[in-house]
Amino acid sequence: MLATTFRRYATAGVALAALALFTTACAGDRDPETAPSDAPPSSATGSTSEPTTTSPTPTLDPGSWESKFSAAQLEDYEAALQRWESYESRSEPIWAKGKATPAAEKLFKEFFPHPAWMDYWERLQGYGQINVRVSGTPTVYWSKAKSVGASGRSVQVQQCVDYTRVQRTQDGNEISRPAPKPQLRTIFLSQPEGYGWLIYGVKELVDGKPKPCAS
Amino acid sequence: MRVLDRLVVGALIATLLALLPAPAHAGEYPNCGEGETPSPFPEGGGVCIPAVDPGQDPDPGGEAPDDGGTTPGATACYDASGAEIPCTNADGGVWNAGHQCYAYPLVPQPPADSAYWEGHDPSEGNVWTCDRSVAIPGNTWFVPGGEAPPDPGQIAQTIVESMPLVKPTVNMAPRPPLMTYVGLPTWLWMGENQWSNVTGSATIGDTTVTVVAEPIRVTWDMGDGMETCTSAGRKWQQGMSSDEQTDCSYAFQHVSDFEPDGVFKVTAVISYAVNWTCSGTCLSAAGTLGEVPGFTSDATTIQVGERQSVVIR
Repeated sequence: MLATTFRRYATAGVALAALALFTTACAGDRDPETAPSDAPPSSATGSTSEPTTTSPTPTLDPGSWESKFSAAQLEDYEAALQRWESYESRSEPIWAKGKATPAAEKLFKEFFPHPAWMDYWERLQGYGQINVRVSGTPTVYWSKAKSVGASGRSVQVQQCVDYTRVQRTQDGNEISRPAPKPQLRTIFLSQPEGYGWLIYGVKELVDGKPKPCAS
Repeated sequence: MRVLDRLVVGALIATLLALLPAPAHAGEYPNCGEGETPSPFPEGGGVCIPAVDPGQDPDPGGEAPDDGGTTPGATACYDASGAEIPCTNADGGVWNAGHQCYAYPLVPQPPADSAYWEGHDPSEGNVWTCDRSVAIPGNTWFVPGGEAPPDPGQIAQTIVESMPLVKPTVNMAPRPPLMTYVGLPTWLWMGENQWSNVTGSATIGDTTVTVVAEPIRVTWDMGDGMETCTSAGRKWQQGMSSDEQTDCSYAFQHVSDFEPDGVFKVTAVISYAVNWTCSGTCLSAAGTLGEVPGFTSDATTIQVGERQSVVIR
């Protein structure tokens, strides 16, 4: 009788353990609605990076948004986008080294207005203190102009990006994070009188979460 | 027995549920402890980084932007709980009671036709924000009147460019036109009071920036090599014994016979560590310009010969 009882407990335990394993394995499969569309890649204006994954990639029909802007506005958009791309490529080695150097401070001041540059600078200082490194840049699936000011001095660039290939480590170990999926980011650039293009803000999280490209 | 069954199975379930790892949610990052601040990743997740201590401004009576939530000229500021807090923080943020945060003017201000202005005339005020990371229409607001304070770092740079940084006087012993010799420590020093802090300040509107340049190093170009000293050097005086020491000397490696006019040209330049502080209405309370070289001295020449040892038996 006692043996039967223990067998029953053991069976229940195994079943629960299996259930636990199943649940754990499925924990990362969230938000199926955020999956990229099945359409093949197109030559979206401003796309800068070739996707590294073989999965279907989000695409954008250039005609669907370019027609909303004049040729001059599209030129302004391209100039603003190039400025952003310049920042992203020039700052990558800085984040990869994770050292708050005078050169890094100078770069932030070059690309951001006050007080935004201070935030990037202090974040880099913080990363340096806890030995966090960020290497690589996100895959850009597409870029488009979300808005272009009448004078062409203010541009909002919207991109669909994927942070999968961006590595984040602490003390050499990869930092755990949710599996990246294609997400939207909006970059606010302005060109004040007497200045080049400055990055006034980059919006990527909505209510603390990334916004999928597909939605 | 059924009761025991239920109790044991219940305990098993509770144990297993406790062992289950928490599922990852996008945007989730660890709760940060005291002295830490969250630094979220754009793709979700994040890390806690050491919080920057905003410090306390020596002048807590700074004037906050008047958007209706503040009292211009207020001598004290209060948070929502009524607790008194500094009116400005170390980053130059000005407490804004309406938004319950330290606010910053955007510098430079965005273009006139941008959405930041919400239809306001840029000549009538400035755009401010509390969110340092993202200044976008929606988390910025218009503050009528006044001009955005100037960048104190730029003012500091301008001050340094016009500051009387020292052009040192080169002194050596043996003193030219006397000859010195290969391998002999030649004493180096500069003029009296030349190794000292240099200060300068400027005021623009309500912003006063004071710059202090502190000498940290003097680099001597000796003609056949370089010598770096971290002091003015010690003046050699007649009557000193050969046992006297200095912390700044140079031993030439070569004779100067093959140099133009048969002499080495010697110059010196002081390097300064330049820091600035800002008082009044400031974007930042303090900062540094790093190392800045002073003026290079006039060249002094010295002849370097060689002594031959003669062994007498």
